[in-house]
Amino acid sequence: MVCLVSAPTVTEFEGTVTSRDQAARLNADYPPLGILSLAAVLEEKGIAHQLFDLNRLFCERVCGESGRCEGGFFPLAVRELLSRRADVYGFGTISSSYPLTVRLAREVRRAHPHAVIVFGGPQASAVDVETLEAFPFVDAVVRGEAEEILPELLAALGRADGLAAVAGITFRRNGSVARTPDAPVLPDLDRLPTPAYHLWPGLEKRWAVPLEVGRGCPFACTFCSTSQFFRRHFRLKTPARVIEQMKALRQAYGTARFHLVHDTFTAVRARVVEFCQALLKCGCEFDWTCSARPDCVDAELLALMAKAGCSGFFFGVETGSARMQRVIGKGLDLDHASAVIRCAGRHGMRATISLITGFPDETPDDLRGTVGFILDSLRFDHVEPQFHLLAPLAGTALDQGFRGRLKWDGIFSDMAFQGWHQDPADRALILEHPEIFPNFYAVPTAHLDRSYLVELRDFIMYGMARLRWLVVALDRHSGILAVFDRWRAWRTGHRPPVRVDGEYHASDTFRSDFLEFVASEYLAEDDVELLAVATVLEYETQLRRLQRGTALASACPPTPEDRSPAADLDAVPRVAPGVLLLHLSVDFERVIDCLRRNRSLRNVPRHSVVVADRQLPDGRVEVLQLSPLSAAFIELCNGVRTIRDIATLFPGLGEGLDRFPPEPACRFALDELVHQGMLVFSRAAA
Amino acid sequence: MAAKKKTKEKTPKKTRFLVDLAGEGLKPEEQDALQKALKTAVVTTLPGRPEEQVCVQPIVNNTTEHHPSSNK
Repeated sequence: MVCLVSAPTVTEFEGTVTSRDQAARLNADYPPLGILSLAAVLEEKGIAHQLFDLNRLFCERVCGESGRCEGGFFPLAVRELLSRRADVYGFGTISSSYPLTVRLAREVRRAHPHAVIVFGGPQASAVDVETLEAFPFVDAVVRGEAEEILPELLAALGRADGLAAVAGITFRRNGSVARTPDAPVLPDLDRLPTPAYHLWPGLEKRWAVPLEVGRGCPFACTFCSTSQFFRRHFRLKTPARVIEQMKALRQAYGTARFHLVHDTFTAVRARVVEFCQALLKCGCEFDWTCSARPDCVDAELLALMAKAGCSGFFFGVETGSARMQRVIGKGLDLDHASAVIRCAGRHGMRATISLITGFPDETPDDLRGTVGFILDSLRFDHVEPQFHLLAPLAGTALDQGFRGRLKWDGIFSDMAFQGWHQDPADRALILEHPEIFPNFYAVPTAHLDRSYLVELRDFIMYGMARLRWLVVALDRHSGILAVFDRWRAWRTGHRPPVRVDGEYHASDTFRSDFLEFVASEYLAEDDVELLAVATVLEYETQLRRLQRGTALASACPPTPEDRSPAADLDAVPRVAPGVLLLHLSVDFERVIDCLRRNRSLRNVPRHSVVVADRQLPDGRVEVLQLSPLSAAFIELCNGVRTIRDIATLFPGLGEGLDRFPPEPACRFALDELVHQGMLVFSRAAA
Repeated sequence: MAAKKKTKEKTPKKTRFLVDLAGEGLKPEEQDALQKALKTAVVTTLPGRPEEQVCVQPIVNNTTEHHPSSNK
């Protein structure tokens, strides 16, 4: 029996219950594709196996009401792993949770001394020899793609010639560590069976299903581990195979949404065109997302992809500095990248863009370019930026270039995220074995202070996640780096010293502190450009007050009960759940439009407006500006007045409304606003 | 010769929820005027607001996570 253990992406989150729960839910909600693919291969070959999903275990047994197991996650995971009583434990590994994986493996060996322990996945592949030398309880590492290697290794365990005949592994022989030659990459990915999704319950509840469409990135960026793992050998499944799998998954799980997983799906334009054309001809409509380099797509290709169902991209931009683009080997034209990202939005596609700071040669000017790229993109709703602190991933050119020179400074990249507090046992391992866990160390930055960078990164990420348009407005006024410096100085002078880390930035304290800072530092100045800051601040301040007084609910499409019995004049309309109404003193729509288009704020009308804020069922937040009539009408719908009551007041809601017959006009308005999701109905008390 | 512009005959609007009554008793031009006056503008659509104490990435934005080659 082989027990395939997923690499955990949720580790021990201490003290911040909400964080832990939501993070765990999000991670546990994602099928571990790597081991599902291996499970499918073992299944095909008739090899007994089982799946052990550490994220799911964490979510189901540690989080939420049923959770809070005694002693924390680690002892639970150990108990559960040992209860599997497998002959072989195969651990998937990634850099951020490698210390935890190592600790789990150690416990398995202690309890089951005869079980074989095999590591695989990107982290173990990169530090195979070091791992075997340091941890005697690991028997072998499968390097690179394991679908062909793992069955061969399992078969070799019982043979006299043993593991030496298996290509692509690192193992123990006569008391030392041996490496067999690399196995060839799988040339034809169509031959791989569909991942064993059936071993992962709940797939049908997912918003989208991840489906691997190919492997290997032909590029060689200095910070990236992908090219090493798949050895820059770009491969795509054929369109026929991918579409066959999409159709089968739709049949089995009822989903038509897919994350098409490939590091650089668009590397070969002709193949993408071929895929889109095949999709358009296949007779089914699918919604899908993918990863791309901005320089591998153009306006024409984006249009075709949108037509074929593509609804979102992950774009690796990495740095907003043209100089750093060359230094890190990425080589993007940043103007083109910006144009591509905006073009995606015009076609209705969302764009996650990823940028990094903390490169060894990065200067303040380079940093300014990167932050500028992020802030510029924030003006477009369809863009969701990520901002990372560089982690020297094992085996990358960066790691190799700085081998022996990496520094321990206690500052972790979010790419080495282990929750708010690092487990002491993990830390001990990391400190003892820098060559195995380089991602927790720092590449020296000659021109930038890493503690400044990590705080800036948290400030921007949390600032834009919670106060997006305020951040944009402040950036436009004085540049976000200047705002950041002023904010740090203000906080030092106005707040007791606290540890300013991710935990602080994720808290409501940061939000309220920052709103107070903006109100005290920016509103006193007489500058028309501050109109945007003042208006968005008014919005955010009211929103925070309303949120604190209201249990937040998603705005839901009206149910039949919400839609009034047609002729019932005694029905009582009220504001729909999840809709928050804010009264602002300046035309919010015009302010945001000026920010979006970089236009002057001089002509923005200063009249009061009502704005509705609501969370959509898919988690997005929509902000709408109501017309004066809508605002006045909704104001009447206080959950007490009946339609009959409101109809009598209708003519007084605005000039010229007395020309409409009140009751029909009132019903029409109700119909319109229910349709817009602003109002629902409840029955009047008998 | 310029193409003849099709004239659209005005018909009462189809109702959505108040099936029997909405629009009844209003002329089409009155319906148009009211609908215009009730128009709501989408100002912005944001990716979402994380709950308090939630790390915003990479956990929330885990687009690249879980790829078999992803080492993060």
